[in-house]
Amino acid sequence: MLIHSTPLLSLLEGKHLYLDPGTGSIFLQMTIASVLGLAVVIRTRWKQIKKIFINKASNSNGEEEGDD
Amino acid sequence: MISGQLGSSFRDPNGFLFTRDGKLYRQINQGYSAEYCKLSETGLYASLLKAGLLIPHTEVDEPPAEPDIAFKIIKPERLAFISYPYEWSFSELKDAALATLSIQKRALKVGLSLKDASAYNIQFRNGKATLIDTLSFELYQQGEPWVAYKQFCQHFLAPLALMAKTDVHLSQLLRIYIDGVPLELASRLLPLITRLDLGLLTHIHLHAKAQAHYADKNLEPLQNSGRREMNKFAMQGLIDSLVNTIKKLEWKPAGTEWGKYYEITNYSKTAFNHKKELVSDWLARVAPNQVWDLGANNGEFTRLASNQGIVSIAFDIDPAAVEQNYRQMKTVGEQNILPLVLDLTNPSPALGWHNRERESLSLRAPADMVFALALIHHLAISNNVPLPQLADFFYDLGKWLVIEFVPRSDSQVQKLLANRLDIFDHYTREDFEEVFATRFYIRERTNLCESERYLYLMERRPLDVS
Repeated sequence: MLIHSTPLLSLLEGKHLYLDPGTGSIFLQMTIASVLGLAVVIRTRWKQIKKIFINKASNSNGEEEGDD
Repeated sequence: MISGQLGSSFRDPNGFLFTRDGKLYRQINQGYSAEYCKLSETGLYASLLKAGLLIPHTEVDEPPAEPDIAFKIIKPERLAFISYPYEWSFSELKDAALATLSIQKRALKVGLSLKDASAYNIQFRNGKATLIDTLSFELYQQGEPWVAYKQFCQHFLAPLALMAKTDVHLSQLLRIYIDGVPLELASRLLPLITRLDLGLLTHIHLHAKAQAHYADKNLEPLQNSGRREMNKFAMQGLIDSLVNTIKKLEWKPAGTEWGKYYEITNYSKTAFNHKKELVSDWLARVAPNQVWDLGANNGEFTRLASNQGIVSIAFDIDPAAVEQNYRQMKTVGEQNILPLVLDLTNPSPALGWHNRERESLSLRAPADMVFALALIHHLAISNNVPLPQLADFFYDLGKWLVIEFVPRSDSQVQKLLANRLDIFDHYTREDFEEVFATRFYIRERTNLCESERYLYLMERRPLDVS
Protein backbone atom coordinates (compact mmCIF):
# COMPACT_ATOMS: atom_id res chain seq x y z
CA MET A 1 0.00 0.00 0.00
CA LEU A 2 1.41 3.33 -1.01
CA ILE A 3 0.62 6.11 1.40
CA HIS A 4 1.24 8.82 -1.14
CA SER A 5 -1.47 7.50 -3.41
CA THR A 6 -4.18 7.88 -0.80
CA PRO A 7 -6.62 10.51 -2.06
CA LEU A 8 -7.15 11.79 1.46
CA LEU A 9 -3.59 12.18 2.54
CA SER A 10 -2.38 13.33 -0.86
CA LEU A 11 -4.04 16.58 0.05
CA LEU A 12 -1.49 16.97 2.79
CA GLU A 13 1.39 15.63 0.70
CA GLY A 14 4.53 17.66 0.67
CA LYS A 15 3.43 19.69 3.66
CA HIS A 16 5.71 19.82 6.62
CA LEU A 17 3.20 18.50 9.13
CA TYR A 18 4.63 19.79 12.36
CA LEU A 19 1.55 18.76 14.28
CA ASP A 20 0.02 15.30 14.09
CA PRO A 21 -3.45 16.08 12.72
CA GLY A 22 -4.81 12.69 13.77
CA THR A 23 -6.09 10.24 11.17
CA GLY A 24 -9.49 9.96 12.84
CA SER A 25 -9.85 13.75 12.92
CA ILE A 26 -9.10 14.00 9.19
CA PHE A 27 -11.57 11.21 8.49
CA LEU A 28 -14.29 12.93 10.50
CA GLN A 29 -13.77 16.23 8.71
CA MET A 30 -14.03 14.61 5.31
CA THR A 31 -17.14 12.70 6.37
CA ILE A 32 -19.02 15.73 7.60
CA ALA A 33 -17.59 17.98 4.88
CA SER A 34 -20.55 17.63 2.56
CA VAL A 35 -23.05 18.28 5.34
CA LEU A 36 -21.15 21.32 6.59
CA GLY A 37 -20.71 22.69 3.07
CA LEU A 38 -24.37 22.14 2.28
CA ALA A 39 -25.41 23.99 5.42
CA VAL A 40 -23.33 27.00 4.43
CA VAL A 41 -24.63 27.01 0.86
CA ILE A 42 -28.25 26.67 2.00
CA ARG A 43 -27.79 29.49 4.49
CA THR A 44 -26.45 31.73 1.73
CA ARG A 45 -29.00 30.69 -0.90
CA TRP A 46 -31.91 30.86 1.59
CA LYS A 47 -31.59 34.61 1.80
CA GLN A 48 -31.55 34.80 -1.99
CA ILE A 49 -34.62 32.59 -2.20
CA LYS A 50 -36.43 34.66 0.39
CA LYS A 51 -35.54 37.78 -1.55
CA ILE A 52 -37.03 36.32 -4.71
CA PHE A 53 -40.32 35.58 -2.97
CA ILE A 54 -40.43 38.96 -1.29
CA ASN A 55 -39.76 40.64 -4.63
CA LYS A 56 -42.51 38.66 -6.32
CA ALA A 57 -44.94 39.42 -3.55
CA SER A 58 -44.29 43.13 -3.31
CA ASN A 59 -43.52 43.58 -6.98
CA SER A 60 -40.62 45.88 -6.28
CA ASN A 61 -36.95 45.74 -7.34
CA GLY A 62 -34.85 43.40 -5.30
CA GLU A 63 -31.48 44.37 -3.83
CA GLU A 64 -28.31 42.64 -4.78
CA GLU A 65 -26.86 40.64 -1.97
CA GLY A 66 -23.25 39.63 -1.72
CA ASP A 67 -21.94 36.52 -0.06
CA ASP A 68 -21.32 36.45 3.69
CA MET B 1 19.95 23.33 22.93
CA ILE B 2 20.35 26.84 21.56
CA SER B 3 21.55 29.43 24.03
CA GLY B 4 18.65 31.50 25.35
CA GLN B 5 15.97 29.35 23.69
CA LEU B 6 12.76 29.26 25.66
CA GLY B 7 11.77 25.97 27.28
CA SER B 8 8.34 26.36 25.75
CA SER B 9 9.47 27.00 22.18
CA PHE B 10 11.13 24.06 20.48
CA ARG B 11 8.66 21.92 18.52
CA ASP B 12 8.15 24.14 15.49
CA PRO B 13 10.85 23.77 12.83
CA ASN B 14 9.78 27.13 11.41
CA GLY B 15 11.24 29.15 14.25
CA PHE B 16 11.59 29.65 18.00
CA LEU B 17 11.74 32.20 20.77
CA PHE B 18 14.97 33.09 22.51
CA THR B 19 16.15 35.68 25.01
CA ARG B 20 19.34 37.65 24.84
CA ASP B 21 20.41 40.26 27.40
CA GLY B 22 17.00 40.09 28.97
CA LYS B 23 15.17 40.81 25.71
CA LEU B 24 12.82 38.47 23.87
CA TYR B 25 13.30 37.65 20.18
CA ARG B 26 11.81 35.23 17.70
CA GLN B 27 14.00 33.63 15.05
CA ILE B 28 12.15 32.85 11.82
CA ASN B 29 13.81 30.08 9.86
CA GLN B 30 14.35 30.00 6.10
CA GLY B 31 11.66 27.38 5.50
CA TYR B 32 9.01 29.84 6.67
CA SER B 33 9.95 32.89 4.59
CA ALA B 34 7.00 32.55 2.17
CA GLU B 35 4.39 32.32 4.89
CA TYR B 36 5.89 35.16 6.90
CA CYS B 37 5.89 37.47 3.87
CA LYS B 38 2.36 36.48 2.98
CA LEU B 39 1.23 37.41 6.48
CA SER B 40 2.01 41.06 5.85
CA GLU B 41 1.47 41.17 2.06
CA THR B 42 -2.12 39.99 2.38
CA GLY B 43 -2.83 42.58 5.05
CA LEU B 44 -3.67 39.86 7.55
CA TYR B 45 -1.03 41.06 10.00
CA ALA B 46 -2.43 44.58 9.95
CA SER B 47 -6.05 43.50 10.28
CA LEU B 48 -5.32 41.11 13.16
CA LEU B 49 -3.31 43.80 14.90
CA LYS B 50 -6.16 46.27 14.52
CA ALA B 51 -8.59 43.78 16.04
CA GLY B 52 -6.21 43.11 18.94
CA LEU B 53 -5.97 39.48 17.87
CA LEU B 54 -2.22 39.18 17.25
CA ILE B 55 0.80 40.31 19.21
CA PRO B 56 2.67 43.14 17.48
CA HIS B 57 6.33 42.74 16.59
CA THR B 58 9.13 44.70 14.98
CA GLU B 59 11.79 43.40 12.61
CA VAL B 60 15.25 43.84 14.05
CA ASP B 61 18.87 43.58 13.01
CA GLU B 62 19.74 41.23 15.81
CA PRO B 63 22.22 38.38 15.16
CA PRO B 64 20.29 35.07 14.94
CA ALA B 65 20.53 32.45 17.66
CA GLU B 66 21.04 29.84 14.93
CA PRO B 67 22.52 31.69 11.92
CA ASP B 68 22.69 28.64 9.59
CA ILE B 69 18.93 28.38 9.20
CA ALA B 70 17.77 31.88 10.06
CA PHE B 71 15.68 34.00 7.72
CA LYS B 72 14.78 36.89 9.96
CA ILE B 73 14.71 38.01 13.59
CA ILE B 74 11.66 39.74 14.99
CA LYS B 75 11.06 41.26 18.38
CA PRO B 76 7.53 40.54 19.65
CA GLU B 77 5.97 42.84 22.20
CA ARG B 78 6.66 41.47 25.67
CA LEU B 79 3.67 40.57 27.82
CA ALA B 80 3.37 41.87 31.36
CA PHE B 81 2.30 38.46 32.66
CA ILE B 82 2.04 34.95 31.25
CA SER B 83 -1.00 32.92 32.28
CA TYR B 84 -2.09 29.41 31.36
CA PRO B 85 -5.44 27.87 30.32
CA TYR B 86 -5.74 25.95 33.61
CA GLU B 87 -5.67 29.32 35.38
CA TRP B 88 -8.47 30.79 33.28
CA SER B 89 -12.11 31.07 34.22
CA PHE B 90 -14.79 29.61 31.97
CA SER B 91 -15.35 32.78 29.97
CA GLU B 92 -11.65 33.44 29.58
CA LEU B 93 -11.18 30.03 27.98
CA LYS B 94 -14.30 30.59 25.89
CA ASP B 95 -13.01 33.94 24.63
CA ALA B 96 -9.63 32.39 23.87
CA ALA B 97 -11.41 29.72 21.81
CA LEU B 98 -13.52 32.24 19.91
CA ALA B 99 -10.45 34.40 19.26
CA THR B 100 -8.68 31.38 17.74
CA LEU B 101 -11.62 30.68 15.44
CA SER B 102 -11.93 34.34 14.50
CA ILE B 103 -8.27 34.37 13.53
CA GLN B 104 -8.73 31.20 11.49
CA LYS B 105 -11.68 32.70 9.60
CA ARG B 106 -9.71 35.81 8.70
CA ALA B 107 -6.68 33.75 7.73
CA LEU B 108 -8.68 31.50 5.40
CA LYS B 109 -9.93 34.56 3.50
CA VAL B 110 -6.37 35.33 2.41
CA GLY B 111 -5.15 31.82 1.75
CA LEU B 112 -3.58 31.14 5.12
CA SER B 113 -4.60 28.76 7.90
CA LEU B 114 -3.63 28.10 11.50
CA LYS B 115 -1.33 25.09 11.61
CA ASP B 116 -1.95 24.67 15.31
CA ALA B 117 -4.69 25.64 17.74
CA SER B 118 -3.06 25.33 21.11
CA ALA B 119 -4.56 27.25 24.02
CA TYR B 120 -1.00 28.13 24.98
CA ASN B 121 -0.74 30.25 21.83
CA ILE B 122 -3.28 32.62 23.34
CA GLN B 123 -2.48 35.15 26.08
CA PHE B 124 -4.45 37.99 27.57
CA ARG B 125 -3.11 41.36 26.53
CA ASN B 126 -4.84 44.58 27.55
CA GLY B 127 -7.92 42.61 28.47
CA LYS B 128 -8.17 40.72 25.18
CA ALA B 129 -7.39 37.17 24.14
CA THR B 130 -4.48 37.50 21.68
CA LEU B 131 -2.45 35.11 19.53
CA ILE B 132 1.19 35.30 20.50
CA ASP B 133 2.59 32.82 17.99
CA THR B 134 3.24 34.82 14.84
CA LEU B 135 4.47 31.67 13.09
CA SER B 136 1.19 29.84 13.52
CA PHE B 137 0.08 30.51 9.95
CA GLU B 138 0.65 28.16 7.04
CA LEU B 139 -0.21 28.38 3.36
CA TYR B 140 -3.66 26.99 2.78
CA GLN B 141 -4.65 25.09 -0.32
CA GLN B 142 -8.26 24.61 -1.26
CA GLY B 143 -9.43 21.14 -0.44
CA GLU B 144 -7.23 20.59 2.58
CA PRO B 145 -8.77 19.63 5.91
CA TRP B 146 -7.89 21.68 9.01
CA VAL B 147 -4.80 20.06 10.52
CA ALA B 148 -5.38 21.79 13.86
CA TYR B 149 -8.99 20.58 14.28
CA LYS B 150 -8.08 17.84 16.72
CA GLN B 151 -5.90 20.14 18.81
CA PHE B 152 -8.63 22.76 18.88
CA CYS B 153 -11.19 20.27 20.16
CA GLN B 154 -8.84 18.99 22.87
CA HIS B 155 -7.51 22.35 24.04
CA PHE B 156 -10.73 24.35 23.86
CA LEU B 157 -13.98 22.55 23.10
CA ALA B 158 -13.54 19.57 25.43
CA PRO B 159 -12.58 21.51 28.58
CA LEU B 160 -15.26 24.15 27.90
CA ALA B 161 -17.94 21.49 27.46
CA LEU B 162 -16.81 19.75 30.65
CA MET B 163 -16.83 23.02 32.59
CA ALA B 164 -20.29 23.93 31.33
CA LYS B 165 -21.97 20.53 31.47
CA THR B 166 -20.19 18.52 34.13
CA ASP B 167 -18.13 20.57 36.59
CA VAL B 168 -16.36 23.88 36.27
CA HIS B 169 -13.33 22.53 38.14
CA LEU B 170 -12.59 20.13 35.28
CA SER B 171 -10.51 22.86 33.69
CA GLN B 172 -7.81 21.44 35.96
CA LEU B 173 -7.60 18.44 33.65
CA LEU B 174 -5.53 20.77 31.49
CA ARG B 175 -2.82 20.57 34.12
CA ILE B 176 -2.58 16.82 33.66
CA TYR B 177 -3.11 16.66 29.92
CA ILE B 178 -0.61 19.07 28.53
CA ASP B 179 -1.95 18.78 24.97
CA GLY B 180 -5.58 19.22 25.87
CA VAL B 181 -8.23 16.88 27.25
CA PRO B 182 -8.35 13.57 25.34
CA LEU B 183 -11.65 13.41 23.48
CA GLU B 184 -12.43 9.88 24.61
CA LEU B 185 -12.16 10.97 28.24
CA ALA B 186 -14.25 14.07 27.63
CA SER B 187 -16.89 12.01 25.84
CA ARG B 188 -17.12 9.64 28.79
CA LEU B 189 -17.30 12.38 31.40
CA LEU B 190 -19.93 14.48 29.63
CA PRO B 191 -23.59 13.77 30.49
CA LEU B 192 -25.46 11.65 27.92
CA ILE B 193 -27.76 14.54 27.13
CA THR B 194 -24.90 16.34 25.38
CA ARG B 195 -25.29 13.84 22.56
CA LEU B 196 -28.46 15.72 21.64
CA ASP B 197 -26.43 18.80 20.85
CA LEU B 198 -25.35 18.43 17.24
CA GLY B 199 -22.11 20.31 17.74
CA LEU B 200 -20.99 18.39 20.82
CA LEU B 201 -22.16 15.14 19.23
CA THR B 202 -20.00 15.76 16.18
CA HIS B 203 -16.93 17.47 17.53
CA ILE B 204 -16.55 15.52 20.76
CA HIS B 205 -18.50 12.26 20.78
CA LEU B 206 -18.18 11.20 17.13
CA HIS B 207 -14.73 12.75 16.99
CA ALA B 208 -13.67 10.58 19.93
CA LYS B 209 -15.02 7.48 18.23
CA ALA B 210 -13.27 8.33 14.96
CA GLN B 211 -10.00 8.86 16.80
CA ALA B 212 -10.29 5.57 18.65
CA HIS B 213 -11.27 3.70 15.51
CA TYR B 214 -8.31 4.91 13.48
CA ALA B 215 -5.79 4.94 16.32
CA ASP B 216 -4.04 1.74 15.35
CA LYS B 217 -5.36 1.29 11.85
CA ASN B 218 -3.45 1.60 8.65
CA LEU B 219 -4.71 3.89 5.94
CA GLU B 220 -6.37 1.39 3.58
CA PRO B 221 -9.96 2.22 4.50
CA LEU B 222 -9.30 5.86 3.71
CA GLN B 223 -7.72 4.89 0.44
CA ASN B 224 -10.86 3.15 -0.69
CA SER B 225 -13.31 5.65 0.69
CA GLY B 226 -13.30 7.78 -2.42
CA ARG B 227 -14.16 10.86 -0.44
CA ARG B 228 -14.13 14.21 -2.10
CA GLU B 229 -11.84 16.91 -0.85
CA MET B 230 -12.93 19.53 1.64
CA ASN B 231 -14.07 22.55 -0.35
CA LYS B 232 -14.13 26.10 0.93
CA PHE B 233 -17.78 25.90 2.00
CA ALA B 234 -17.06 22.80 4.03
CA MET B 235 -14.12 24.51 5.73
CA GLN B 236 -16.23 27.57 6.45
CA GLY B 237 -18.99 25.29 7.72
CA LEU B 238 -16.57 23.52 10.04
CA ILE B 239 -15.35 26.75 11.60
CA ASP B 240 -18.90 28.14 11.85
CA SER B 241 -20.06 24.94 13.50
CA LEU B 242 -17.28 25.16 16.08
CA VAL B 243 -18.11 28.82 16.74
CA ASN B 244 -21.79 28.04 17.27
CA THR B 245 -21.07 25.05 19.48
CA ILE B 246 -18.80 27.11 21.70
CA LYS B 247 -21.09 30.12 21.82
CA LYS B 248 -23.89 27.91 23.09
CA LEU B 249 -21.83 26.74 26.07
CA GLU B 250 -22.69 28.76 29.16
CA TRP B 251 -21.77 28.56 32.80
CA LYS B 252 -23.62 30.42 35.51
CA PRO B 253 -21.32 31.10 38.47
CA ALA B 254 -23.82 30.63 41.26
CA GLY B 255 -23.63 28.45 44.29
CA THR B 256 -19.89 28.25 44.97
CA GLU B 257 -18.64 29.25 48.39
CA TRP B 258 -17.39 32.75 47.76
CA GLY B 259 -19.74 34.10 45.15
CA LYS B 260 -21.42 36.47 47.52
CA TYR B 261 -18.39 37.23 49.65
CA TYR B 262 -18.64 40.96 49.99
CA GLU B 263 -22.23 40.76 51.06
CA ILE B 264 -21.48 38.82 54.22
CA THR B 265 -18.14 40.08 55.48
CA ASN B 266 -16.97 41.23 58.79
CA TYR B 267 -16.45 44.93 58.14
CA SER B 268 -18.42 47.97 59.01
CA LYS B 269 -18.56 50.49 56.21
CA THR B 270 -16.03 52.62 58.09
CA ALA B 271 -13.54 49.80 58.41
CA PHE B 272 -13.95 48.88 54.77
CA ASN B 273 -13.35 52.42 53.57
CA HIS B 274 -10.41 52.83 55.93
CA LYS B 275 -8.86 49.71 54.43
CA LYS B 276 -9.38 51.05 50.91
CA GLU B 277 -7.84 54.38 51.85
CA LEU B 278 -4.75 52.78 53.29
CA VAL B 279 -4.22 50.50 50.31
CA SER B 280 -4.62 53.43 47.92
CA ASP B 281 -2.14 55.53 49.90
CA TRP B 282 0.44 52.78 49.95
CA LEU B 283 0.01 52.14 46.23
CA ALA B 284 0.74 55.79 45.58
CA ARG B 285 3.73 55.67 47.88
CA VAL B 286 5.38 52.55 46.38
CA ALA B 287 4.18 53.07 42.78
CA PRO B 288 4.61 49.40 41.77
CA ASN B 289 4.74 48.26 38.13
CA GLN B 290 2.68 45.19 38.80
CA VAL B 291 0.42 44.07 41.63
CA TRP B 292 -0.63 40.53 42.50
CA ASP B 293 -3.77 40.40 44.60
CA LEU B 294 -3.89 37.01 46.33
CA GLY B 295 -7.36 35.87 47.30
CA ALA B 296 -8.75 38.81 45.33
CA ASN B 297 -12.30 37.46 45.14
CA ASN B 298 -14.15 39.71 42.70
CA GLY B 299 -11.31 42.21 42.43
CA GLU B 300 -12.70 45.01 44.58
CA PHE B 301 -9.27 45.87 46.01
CA THR B 302 -7.35 44.88 42.90
CA ARG B 303 -9.10 47.70 41.10
CA LEU B 304 -7.54 50.22 43.46
CA ALA B 305 -4.35 49.38 41.57
CA SER B 306 -5.65 48.63 38.08
CA ASN B 307 -7.73 51.80 37.97
CA GLN B 308 -4.47 53.69 38.44
CA GLY B 309 -3.09 52.05 35.31
CA ILE B 310 -1.05 49.47 37.22
CA VAL B 311 -0.97 45.98 35.66
CA SER B 312 -2.81 43.88 38.23
CA ILE B 313 -3.42 40.16 38.50
CA ALA B 314 -6.39 39.12 40.63
CA PHE B 315 -5.91 35.54 41.87
CA ASP B 316 -8.65 33.59 43.63
CA ILE B 317 -9.41 29.95 44.35
CA ASP B 318 -13.10 30.35 43.53
CA PRO B 319 -13.94 30.02 39.82
CA ALA B 320 -17.20 31.91 40.42
CA ALA B 321 -15.41 34.96 41.81
CA VAL B 322 -12.87 34.94 38.99
CA GLU B 323 -15.65 34.59 36.43
CA GLN B 324 -17.57 37.50 37.97
CA ASN B 325 -14.40 39.56 37.96
CA TYR B 326 -13.68 38.77 34.31
CA ARG B 327 -17.24 39.59 33.24
CA GLN B 328 -17.00 42.94 34.93
CA MET B 329 -13.65 43.54 33.25
CA LYS B 330 -15.21 42.90 29.87
CA THR B 331 -18.33 44.94 30.49
CA VAL B 332 -16.35 47.96 31.58
CA GLY B 333 -13.57 47.39 29.05
CA GLU B 334 -10.78 47.35 31.61
CA GLN B 335 -7.30 46.73 30.28
CA ASN B 336 -5.10 46.52 33.35
CA ILE B 337 -6.66 43.71 35.33
CA LEU B 338 -6.39 39.97 34.71
CA PRO B 339 -8.49 37.64 36.92
CA LEU B 340 -7.07 34.12 37.35
CA VAL B 341 -8.01 30.97 39.23
CA LEU B 342 -5.36 29.85 41.70
CA ASP B 343 -5.24 27.67 44.81
CA LEU B 344 -2.51 29.22 46.96
CA THR B 345 -2.06 25.96 48.87
CA ASN B 346 -1.38 24.18 45.58
CA PRO B 347 -0.34 26.80 43.04
CA SER B 348 0.46 26.14 39.38
CA PRO B 349 3.52 23.90 39.12
CA ALA B 350 6.15 23.76 36.37
CA LEU B 351 4.76 21.55 33.61
CA GLY B 352 5.43 20.08 30.22
CA TRP B 353 8.58 18.81 28.58
CA HIS B 354 11.48 18.73 31.05
CA ASN B 355 9.15 20.63 33.41
CA ARG B 356 10.16 23.75 31.53
CA GLU B 357 7.32 24.47 29.14
CA ARG B 358 4.88 26.04 31.57
CA GLU B 359 6.24 28.07 34.45
CA SER B 360 5.27 27.59 38.06
CA LEU B 361 3.85 30.56 39.90
CA SER B 362 7.17 31.05 41.71
CA LEU B 363 9.07 31.31 38.45
CA ARG B 364 6.78 34.12 37.35
CA ALA B 365 7.49 35.93 40.63
CA PRO B 366 8.38 38.29 42.16
CA ALA B 367 5.74 40.91 41.60
CA ASP B 368 6.51 44.45 42.62
CA MET B 369 3.73 44.33 45.16
CA VAL B 370 1.51 41.62 46.60
CA PHE B 371 -1.82 42.06 48.39
CA ALA B 372 -2.70 39.51 51.05
CA LEU B 373 -5.95 41.00 52.30
CA ALA B 374 -8.35 38.98 54.47
CA LEU B 375 -6.27 35.97 53.50
CA ILE B 376 -3.79 34.92 56.15
CA HIS B 377 -6.27 33.29 58.50
CA HIS B 378 -7.42 30.97 55.72
CA LEU B 379 -3.88 29.78 55.17
CA ALA B 380 -2.84 29.68 58.82
CA ILE B 381 -6.02 28.28 60.33
CA SER B 382 -7.90 26.38 57.60
CA ASN B 383 -4.73 25.05 56.03
CA ASN B 384 -2.50 24.76 59.08
CA VAL B 385 0.37 26.67 57.49
CA PRO B 386 2.67 27.99 60.25
CA LEU B 387 3.63 31.67 60.20
CA PRO B 388 7.30 31.10 59.21
CA GLN B 389 6.19 29.16 56.13
CA LEU B 390 3.75 31.91 55.28
CA ALA B 391 6.47 34.52 55.58
CA ASP B 392 8.76 32.50 53.27
CA PHE B 393 5.97 32.13 50.75
CA PHE B 394 5.16 35.83 50.55
CA TYR B 395 8.87 36.61 50.50
CA ASP B 396 9.20 34.65 47.24
CA LEU B 397 6.21 36.23 45.62
CA GLY B 398 6.70 39.96 45.97
CA LYS B 399 9.05 42.81 46.80
CA TRP B 400 6.41 44.72 48.72
CA LEU B 401 3.60 43.18 50.74
CA VAL B 402 0.31 44.68 51.86
CA ILE B 403 -1.01 42.20 54.39
CA GLU B 404 -3.95 42.12 56.76
CA PHE B 405 -3.64 40.32 60.06
CA VAL B 406 -6.93 38.76 61.16
CA PRO B 407 -6.77 37.87 64.88
CA ARG B 408 -8.25 34.81 66.58
CA SER B 409 -10.96 36.91 68.18
CA ASP B 410 -12.31 37.91 64.75
CA SER B 411 -15.69 36.33 64.05
CA GLN B 412 -14.51 34.90 60.73
CA VAL B 413 -11.68 33.07 62.49
CA GLN B 414 -14.06 31.87 65.19
CA LYS B 415 -16.17 30.36 62.42
CA LEU B 416 -13.12 28.54 61.04
CA LEU B 417 -12.33 27.21 64.52
CA ALA B 418 -15.91 26.23 65.28
CA ASN B 419 -15.57 22.52 64.62
CA ARG B 420 -11.99 21.85 65.43
CA LEU B 421 -9.39 21.85 68.13
CA ASP B 422 -7.80 25.25 68.64
CA ILE B 423 -4.12 24.44 68.34
CA PHE B 424 -3.21 27.90 67.19
CA ASP B 425 -1.53 29.28 70.29
CA HIS B 426 1.18 30.79 68.13
CA TYR B 427 -1.20 32.62 65.88
CA THR B 428 -1.15 36.04 67.56
CA ARG B 429 -0.35 39.48 66.24
CA GLU B 430 2.88 39.56 68.24
CA ASP B 431 3.99 36.24 66.76
CA PHE B 432 2.99 37.40 63.31
CA GLU B 433 5.04 40.59 63.56
CA GLU B 434 8.02 38.81 65.04
CA VAL B 435 8.11 36.14 62.34
CA PHE B 436 7.50 38.46 59.41
CA ALA B 437 10.10 40.93 60.66
CA THR B 438 12.77 38.31 59.98
CA ARG B 439 11.87 38.44 56.28
CA PHE B 440 10.47 41.94 55.82
CA TYR B 441 10.90 45.48 57.03
CA ILE B 442 7.58 46.48 58.57
CA ARG B 443 7.14 49.95 57.09
CA GLU B 444 3.60 50.63 58.30
CA ARG B 445 1.15 49.16 60.75
CA THR B 446 -2.40 50.45 61.19
CA ASN B 447 -5.36 49.21 63.16
CA LEU B 448 -8.46 49.31 60.98
CA CYS B 449 -11.22 51.54 62.37
CA GLU B 450 -13.98 49.67 64.16
CA SER B 451 -12.10 46.42 63.76
CA GLU B 452 -9.55 44.22 65.47
CA ARG B 453 -7.76 43.71 62.18
CA TYR B 454 -4.43 45.33 61.37
CA LEU B 455 -3.10 46.34 57.98
CA TYR B 456 0.64 46.26 57.26
CA LEU B 457 2.92 47.58 54.54
CA MET B 458 6.08 45.47 54.37
CA GLU B 459 9.18 45.58 52.22
CA ARG B 460 11.17 42.45 51.45
CA ARG B 461 14.62 42.30 53.02
CA PRO B 462 17.57 41.83 50.63
CA LEU B 463 17.74 38.35 49.11
CA ASP B 464 20.97 37.08 50.61
CA VAL B 465 19.89 37.78 54.19
CA SER B 466 18.57 34.61 55.78
